[in-house]
Amino acid sequence: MSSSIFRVHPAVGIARVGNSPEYYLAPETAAGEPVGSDGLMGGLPIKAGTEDTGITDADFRDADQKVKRQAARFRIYQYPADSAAAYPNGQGTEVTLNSMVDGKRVVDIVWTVHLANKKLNNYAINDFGLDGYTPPALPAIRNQNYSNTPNDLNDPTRRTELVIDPGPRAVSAARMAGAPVAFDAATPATCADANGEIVPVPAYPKSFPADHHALYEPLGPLDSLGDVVVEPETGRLIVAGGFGKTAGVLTDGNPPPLNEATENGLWFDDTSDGPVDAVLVLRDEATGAYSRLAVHGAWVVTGDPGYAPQTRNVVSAWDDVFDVWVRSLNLLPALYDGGGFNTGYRPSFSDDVLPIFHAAMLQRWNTNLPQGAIKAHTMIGSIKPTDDPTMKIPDLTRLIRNPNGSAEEIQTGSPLMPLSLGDMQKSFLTVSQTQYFFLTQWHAKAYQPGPGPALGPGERLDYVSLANCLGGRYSPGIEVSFPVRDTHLYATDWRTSGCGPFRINAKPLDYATAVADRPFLTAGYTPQRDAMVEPGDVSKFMSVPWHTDYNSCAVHLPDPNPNLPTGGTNPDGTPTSYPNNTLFWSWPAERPVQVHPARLCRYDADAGTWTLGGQTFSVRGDGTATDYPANAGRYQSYSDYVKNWHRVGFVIQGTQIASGDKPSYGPDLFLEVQSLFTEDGPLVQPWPTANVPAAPVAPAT
Amino acid sequence: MTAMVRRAAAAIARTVGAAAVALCALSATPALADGCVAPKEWFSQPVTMPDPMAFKPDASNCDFHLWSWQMFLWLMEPDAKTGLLRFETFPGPESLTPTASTGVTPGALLPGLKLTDSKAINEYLQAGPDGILVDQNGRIVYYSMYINDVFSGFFARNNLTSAANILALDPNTPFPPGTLSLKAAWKIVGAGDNPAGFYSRKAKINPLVKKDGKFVIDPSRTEEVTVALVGFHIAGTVANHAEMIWASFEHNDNAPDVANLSGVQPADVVSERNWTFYKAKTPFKDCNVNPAGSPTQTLDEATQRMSPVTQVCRLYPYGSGPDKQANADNIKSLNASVQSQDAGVWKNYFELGSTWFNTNKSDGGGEPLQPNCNFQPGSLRCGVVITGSTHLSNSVIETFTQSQSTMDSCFSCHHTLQRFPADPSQNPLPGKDANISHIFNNLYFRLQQK
Repeated sequence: MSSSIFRVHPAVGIARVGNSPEYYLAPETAAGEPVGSDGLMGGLPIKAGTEDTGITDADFRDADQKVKRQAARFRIYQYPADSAAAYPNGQGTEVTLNSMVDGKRVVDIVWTVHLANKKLNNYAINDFGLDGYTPPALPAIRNQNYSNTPNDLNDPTRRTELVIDPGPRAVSAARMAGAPVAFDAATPATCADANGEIVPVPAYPKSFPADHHALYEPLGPLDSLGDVVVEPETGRLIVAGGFGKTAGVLTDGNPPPLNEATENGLWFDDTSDGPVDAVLVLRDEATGAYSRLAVHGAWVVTGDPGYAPQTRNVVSAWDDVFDVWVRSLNLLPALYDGGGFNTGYRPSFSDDVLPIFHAAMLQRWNTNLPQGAIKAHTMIGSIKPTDDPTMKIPDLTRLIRNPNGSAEEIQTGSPLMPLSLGDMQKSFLTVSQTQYFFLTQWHAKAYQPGPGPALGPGERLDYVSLANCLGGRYSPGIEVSFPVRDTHLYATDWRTSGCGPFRINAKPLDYATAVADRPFLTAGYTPQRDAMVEPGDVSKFMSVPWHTDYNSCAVHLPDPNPNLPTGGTNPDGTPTSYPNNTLFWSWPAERPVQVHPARLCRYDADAGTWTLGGQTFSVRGDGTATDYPANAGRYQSYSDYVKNWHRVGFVIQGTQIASGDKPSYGPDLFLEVQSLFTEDGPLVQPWPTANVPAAPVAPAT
Repeated sequence: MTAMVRRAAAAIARTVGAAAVALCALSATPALADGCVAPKEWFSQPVTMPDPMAFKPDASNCDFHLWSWQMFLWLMEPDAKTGLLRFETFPGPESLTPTASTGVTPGALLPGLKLTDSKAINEYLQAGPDGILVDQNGRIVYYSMYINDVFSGFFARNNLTSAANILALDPNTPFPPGTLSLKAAWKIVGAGDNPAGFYSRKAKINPLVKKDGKFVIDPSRTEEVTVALVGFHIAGTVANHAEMIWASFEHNDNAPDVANLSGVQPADVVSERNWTFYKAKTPFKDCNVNPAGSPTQTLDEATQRMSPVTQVCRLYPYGSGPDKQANADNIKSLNASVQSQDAGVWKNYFELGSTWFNTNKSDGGGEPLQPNCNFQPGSLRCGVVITGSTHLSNSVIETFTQSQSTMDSCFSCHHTLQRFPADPSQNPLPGKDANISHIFNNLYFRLQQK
């Protein structure tokens, strides 16, 4: 027995698809947070093979111009056992290969990861998000009447033919460092036993689309969900996900339609998720005896490509996860207890408030905000902890949309912020209730200017990983979706189990029970129900396939469109109402709509400064032109985005962009690089644009 | 020829030559409708300024449009001393800034007669999203602003000579009745243009240059040109309407109306003929395109030609949606009434529309002006009912914000919410009644400049 507890961090690691076998590592700093003193902002991914070297513009693609994947790197931290119930714990020492733990040397770390994709055997996305699962309600399932089977997610045929499941893979830090192990059909399924031995699971019922279907695979065979590899020397685990592929099940020789933003039936993709577990193998240096220690596992999710990794979401997935843990899982009683926020709690300006302001400031780089709005956002981003809040935002209630506000307020767009779209019947995005409380405390001058309680290094990875993900508008999202707001998704006994907060409520998987030709995974987690979480249960709430959702989510009308009274009356005496025809962004941080290409910037040698060139759409070129502003900035045919997603460029800070023989672009510009689109068009107009002429109701095909 | 028209004609002849007096009837004079008509005395004697205090609390829709037209005609009367139109003798907003650069000294906030034609016209950005209107010759449209003595008196009386004093102003301090602020839109008369039918005059403009990636005026240089008046805004307070009546006028030949806006298709041709700011047969999809911020927008600094040319189409004739056709009918009637009279060059201009708050609660009205509201549908409407021309955008002053429901009312931008600065080092201005005027807001920020 050890007097310590061990946890894998981040609790939820984020990988991203790419069509290259190469990868860079997920950022270990948070977008929107200053890193160092040279103006560098966080969120920058890390070069493969390095501890913390930020990528440059040259690192987004490989030598063949393919998009590198983002791999999630997992580490193990040791905590004093008596600190298990604390949050933030503030402690944590990383355990790597050859670390000494309780006087014993770590001679191996045996990792087991199990990725799966259950999207096609899940509930369809609806407009109500988590509310659509309030018992006894359940949304309709995807692929109803599939192959004449019952509409039951536990039907064995559905679980076999609609699920991609390569099974588990185990890797040994001592014996397999640097050797990738693929989640493909050819690689044997293995897992680590309690002794840290890698055990084959030959009976594991692997399942890939080609095993069951004739397929249309426009990007090549969908035959792998990625790979795992041990980082040499340290023994950390690196999980790299899929390759951005999609495969449609042929019917009578034809692929299924690809006409919908999120629900396209029998279209597989290679995103995935699943548990990341580890066993520490120790050797007593004095006696030579071996022992094993269990580690509280983590979870990995593979999402969309990171096209703008340094642009922070005003509401990130962290903000949503933290909010549910604060308000529903008693994470920080000093902050929230007894059903309400404690007005005596003093949030940290730098930790709790400034990231929101910086996020607002950074939105301009992925959107077509006009100059006046850019300047106002810049002012907000420049607020200092020493400023009088009421001098910088005279009336907070008339700038920030109150998440507890009236239905009318939730439907009110400008001037209330954030001015992007919401979800779950909310026309516009709101900050989380916890974020709103932090802002109101700051505005009431009940805040501390400096950092709050320190996170331990592992806890910081938990935060950073999710802070770099989309929150707020799970329609369905980029990496994770509305279930992150569900307490049932999490292991809530963390204080007694020692696993720490924010952990997925992972279902124990006994691979000894695996039987060939019988699906191993079940229907699994269902929101607002108690079933534990299996591989594939987090990503299954995302779009089918992810490509169509990404393409679609440029700009939209508010939904529901506000139906607010104007106070006037029609000639027939009925009240006049307000159909808002203005177009707003879905995901302005992570789904760039309008960008500033670096190649259009000009260097003014006399002034010694770079000036911006014009804006272009991020998704542009052949197939994107439209007469309808509501359809701008996307391919008019979803299949064209499938074929061209890898051509889209990336937005990165100027300091990371090669500037040839000219001085650096500097920290103040965030520019598009590595786009494979050679044209500038179609023309970008400044916001606001309107749905005039009105786009046809029928979806673009 | 009436006295008024004679004076106008003289002014025109002075500036652009005798040919300009040959007024060009651009469209057939519509038949007069019953109801909202212009008093005949407007055309038989000098027009008087409408008395702001005499404005009735139960004024009808027509009364507001009569105020608009009367004020327009009064402002367009030639000044006996200068030969300029009356509005051109008003000072600009810069007169409120007591700095050396504006030539105004502290304490001199009550301007006397100021001959603004000696000052270069230098406004070129439209309100809202950075739009620059480019005419068919590739020249940009310029704008100039004016205020009257009641406007400047408000600043003097409240000692608004510093940012601190503006900040300290009681939020519930509206502009008094009689306040006026004006904006004129000027098209540069090119070699092939016929100024007949326009009010036009010589003027100096500051040319446009590209600097730091943005198009800005070069205040160090001027160009002498002939400019023609193509659009005009009047914002003025009267008794019971501190929110101001926002009246907008255009030249008849500016741009075509879009028929059937709700059903228009991208390829639909809006008009078969040329207009001042529209090329015949341009499809709707190419109307009112704002290339600001796009790499396709270019400027030849030598010739001052900007590209692309803006094709202007008017989306809401008379600023009226389907629910405001009675309002549109009154405007049309009044316009026809004026155009049927001996109104000289002003026959070639029309009231596009006017908008104000309906504060007559016995007639479906709501609350009056108050601070910290945006008056738009939603949680910050504050019970206000905007009426009259509720979709009012001048096609040459708000060309690019006609289509957006969130931008197509004067009050969309002219509200009383807090205002944020362009300079991050400055502080915002809290919500105040006087924020209804951007001149007030801008002065606060200008006075914060070090």
